[in-house]
Amino acid sequence: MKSFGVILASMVLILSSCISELEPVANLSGNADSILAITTPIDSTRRSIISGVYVVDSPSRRFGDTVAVQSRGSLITIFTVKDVVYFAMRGGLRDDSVLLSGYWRGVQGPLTGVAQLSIQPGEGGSDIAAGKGSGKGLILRGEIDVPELDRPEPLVLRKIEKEFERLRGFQIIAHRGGGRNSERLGVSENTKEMMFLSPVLGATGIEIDIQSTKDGVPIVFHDPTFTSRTVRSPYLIGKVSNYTYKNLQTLARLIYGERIPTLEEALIAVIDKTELSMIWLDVKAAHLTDSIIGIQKRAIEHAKFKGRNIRILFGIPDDDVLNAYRRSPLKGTSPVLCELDPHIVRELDADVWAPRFTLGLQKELVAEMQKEGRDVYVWTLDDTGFMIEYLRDGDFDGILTNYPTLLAAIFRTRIL
Amino acid sequence: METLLAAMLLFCAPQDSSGLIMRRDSSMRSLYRVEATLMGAIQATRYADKPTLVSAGTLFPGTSFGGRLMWHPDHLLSVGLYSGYVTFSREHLSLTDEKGSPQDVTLDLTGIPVQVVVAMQPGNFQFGVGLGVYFLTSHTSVNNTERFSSSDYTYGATTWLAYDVRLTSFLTVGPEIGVHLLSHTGLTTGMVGLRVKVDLLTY
Amino acid sequence: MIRWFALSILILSMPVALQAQDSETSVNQDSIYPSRYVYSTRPVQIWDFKAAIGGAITLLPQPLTESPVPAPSIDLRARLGLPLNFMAFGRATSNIATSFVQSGLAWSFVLGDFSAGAGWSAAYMYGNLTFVDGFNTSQHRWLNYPMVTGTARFDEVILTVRIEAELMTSLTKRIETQTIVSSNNVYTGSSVTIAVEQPFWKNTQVLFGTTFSFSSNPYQSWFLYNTFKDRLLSTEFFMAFIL
Repeated sequence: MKSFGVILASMVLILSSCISELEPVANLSGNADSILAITTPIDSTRRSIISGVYVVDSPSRRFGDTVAVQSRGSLITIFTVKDVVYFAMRGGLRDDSVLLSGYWRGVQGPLTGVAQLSIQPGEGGSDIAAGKGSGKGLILRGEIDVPELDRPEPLVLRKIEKEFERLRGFQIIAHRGGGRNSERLGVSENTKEMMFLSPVLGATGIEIDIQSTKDGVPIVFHDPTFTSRTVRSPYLIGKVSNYTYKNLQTLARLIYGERIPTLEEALIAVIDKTELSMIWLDVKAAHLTDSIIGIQKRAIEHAKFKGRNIRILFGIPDDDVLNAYRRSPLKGTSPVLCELDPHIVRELDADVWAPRFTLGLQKELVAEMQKEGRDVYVWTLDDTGFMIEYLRDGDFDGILTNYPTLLAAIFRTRIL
Repeated sequence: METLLAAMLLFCAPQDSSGLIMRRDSSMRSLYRVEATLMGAIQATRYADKPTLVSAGTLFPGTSFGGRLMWHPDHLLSVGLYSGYVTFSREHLSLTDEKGSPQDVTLDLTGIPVQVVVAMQPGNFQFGVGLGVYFLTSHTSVNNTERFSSSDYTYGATTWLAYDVRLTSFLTVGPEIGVHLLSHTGLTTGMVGLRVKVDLLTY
Repeated sequence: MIRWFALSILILSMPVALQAQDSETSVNQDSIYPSRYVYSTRPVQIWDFKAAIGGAITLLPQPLTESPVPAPSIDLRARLGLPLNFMAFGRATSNIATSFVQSGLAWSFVLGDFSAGAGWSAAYMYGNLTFVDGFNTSQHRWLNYPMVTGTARFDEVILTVRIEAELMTSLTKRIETQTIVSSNNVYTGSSVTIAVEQPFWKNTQVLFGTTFSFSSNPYQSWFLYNTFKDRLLSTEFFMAFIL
C-alpha cells in the first residue's frame, strides 16, 4: 500500500506526457515553377485527351494496376486506389511534349516524394500538341522519389480509356472543405485554402462546418472549443462562442497559419475561384439558422450572377438544428439536406437525404427517396473495401469522405 | 525534464547517518500528521511552439503560488491535495486585424491547478507527484480598451522536490523546485521557490 | 517515448527497491510470491491456478478520436502453472461494444530474484454496435501476440515487463449486409506492459499496470474504422484484485 500511490502516481505522470501525434509530412512541390516558365498551358480540348484511366506499366506495383488521371488547367492530378495516393503535377506543352513536375502523397500516412513526368512526342505528345485523337495509348513516363530508396523509381502509365462518368452525376464530397487536419495536407481543415485544394484532391463538392462567434457571426470551424488540434495558440482556449469575430481575426491562427473564414467569405471564394458544384453546410450553431439561410440565399444569387452551376445546401444534422429550422420564417425558402430519418426528410421536403454509412446500403429507402426526386449522399466513408462495395452495390448520388482522392480513383477507374 | 526527474529520484533515496538505505522499523507506532504547505515560486514556461506567430520565442517567465494539504503517516508516503495560482505566460504584442490596422495586444495564460498529490519524505527531503486538472484562463486586452477572457480545463501533472529546515516543533521552511506538465496545452513549467510548512494536527 | 519507458522503470523500481531493503527477516519468498500473483510469469507450482478481477481504461489515440476519449472495460485475468516452467495465461475484457478474449503459453527461467521468458498468445476480438442508433455494424478479429517477458521480485512485490508484437491474422468488418474480410498476417504494432503485483490490504493482493500500445489499428477503437497507416499510441491502465 505504501508504494501503491507513488507507483500509481508515477504511471499517471507518465500518461499525462504521452500524447499520440501523427508524423509531420514534408511540403513538396518539385520544380513546378521552372517547368511552368518554359511551357504553355494546356487548353480544355487537350486536357480531355490527357484525362482518363491509365494502367501502370512500370515494374513496381507501388500504385496498383490502374490509376485515374485528371487534367485541369496547368494542373494534372493522378489518383490511385492502392495506398490512397495522389499526384499533383504542374506543367504544360513545350513543342511536342508535355512536361510535368510536382509531388505524390500517400494520404493515409506521412509518405511523400517529388515526381517528374512527361509525355514524349512519339508517345502521344504530338497528338496533344495537335489537339487530336482520344489519347488512347498515350504514355506518361518519368521518375518519382521514394523515401526508402536511394535513387528515383521509374513510373510508366499508359492510357487505356477515358475516365468513367455517370449520366445522372455523382458527387465526390470532401469532408471539412477537403480533408481533416490529420490528413496533413499542408492546409488547415475548413479554410479557404483547403477549399481551393479540394478539386486537386478529386472532389466535386465539399462539406463545411459552421460555428458561431460571440457576436453571432457564422464562421467555418468544426469544434465547439479551441484545442491544440485546430489552433496554434495556447491563449486561444475554451468555447469558440467566447470570442467575437474581431477577437478571432486578431488572435486566431489555425494549424498551418490561416485565419478562420466567415461563412460568407468562404462561399464567395468557392463560387468565384473553384469549379466545385456542391457545398454542404453542416450547421452546428442552431441559433444562427436564419442568418445562415440568409447567407446561403445570397450566395446562390451570387452564383447565378456569375453563371456558376453550384448547389448550396443547408444541412440539418440533429434535433437542435431541426427545431430551429422548423421555427424559422425562412423555412422552405432554400435547398436543404437532412441527415435524420426519412419521415423528417419528407416533412421538410429536403432536397437531399444524408444517412450515416454505418446504417448500410438501405437500398429500398434510397430508391424511395430517389423516386421522390431527392438525392441521397452517405457519410463519412473512408474504408477502401466498403467504398468499393458501396459504389458497386449501392445506388447513392454522392459519398462524403476524408479521402476524395481514393473515391475519385475508385469511381473514375471503375475498378469495381 | 527526464534528467531532472532521474536526478531527483537518485537524490531522494533515504539515508541514515552511515549512508545506508533507511530501514523501516515495523515496531514503530504509526504517527499521523496533517500538514499545510504554502509556497511561492518564480518559474519559466516553455511552449512546444511559439504561442503566437509574432511571439519572440517559446520561453516565458512567470510566478506561482500554491498550497498543499497533506495527510502524513510516518511511513514513506503521504497523500493530499494541491491547488494554487500559476501565471504561465504574459506577452505584449503588436498585431494587425483583418483590415491591417495595428493592435496593441496583451495576452496572458493563467491556471488554477486542483490535484491529488502523493509524496515521499525520506529524511528532510520531500519528493512528490500530483495529477489533476488545471482550470486555465486566457486574458486578452486589445488597445487597452477591449478586454475579454476565456476559460477551459485541461489535465496535467506536477512533480516537486523540496528540502525542509525545521525552525520550531511545528514549523519548517525550505527551498522547493518543481515542474508543471500540461501536455495537451503543449507547455512545461519549471519552478524554483520557497515554502513554509506547518504541522496542523498530530494524532 | 523510449526515454519515458526507461524512466518509468526507474521510477517504479525505486520504491520497490526501497521496500526490499526494508525487510527485517529473510523469508523463502518463492513459496509465497509469485504463487499469489496472476500476471507474473515467474514459475509457480504445477496446476496452481490464480485469477483476478478488475477494470481497465484505455485512452484512445487523439488523431482518431480528436479529443481524449477513454474506453473503460471490465477485466478478468487468470493463469495456471504447468510442468517444466510453463504457464498458461488468459484474459477476458469487455465493455459490451468491444469484447476481447486472449489465451496463451509462456515459459520462463529463474535467475535469483529475476526471471525471463517468452510466450505466445492468441486472441479473439468481437465488436458490435447494432444496439446504438445510427450503427448497424460489427467486427471481429483474430490476433496473435508473441512476447518476451521479465520479472523482478522485491520480497512481496513483483514487477513484470512484457513486450509483445501484434499480428492480425484476420479481420472481418460488417455493415448491414456488406462484409469485408481480410485474412493476411499483418504486423500491426507492438506494446510494452509494466505491471506490479503486491499486497494491498491484509491478505488481499492487487495487480496494476500500464500498457503502452503502438498500433495502426487498435482494437478498442474498431468502430472508428481507422484508416491511418501511422502507428498510434493507446495507453491502457488496468487494475485488478487477485482472488
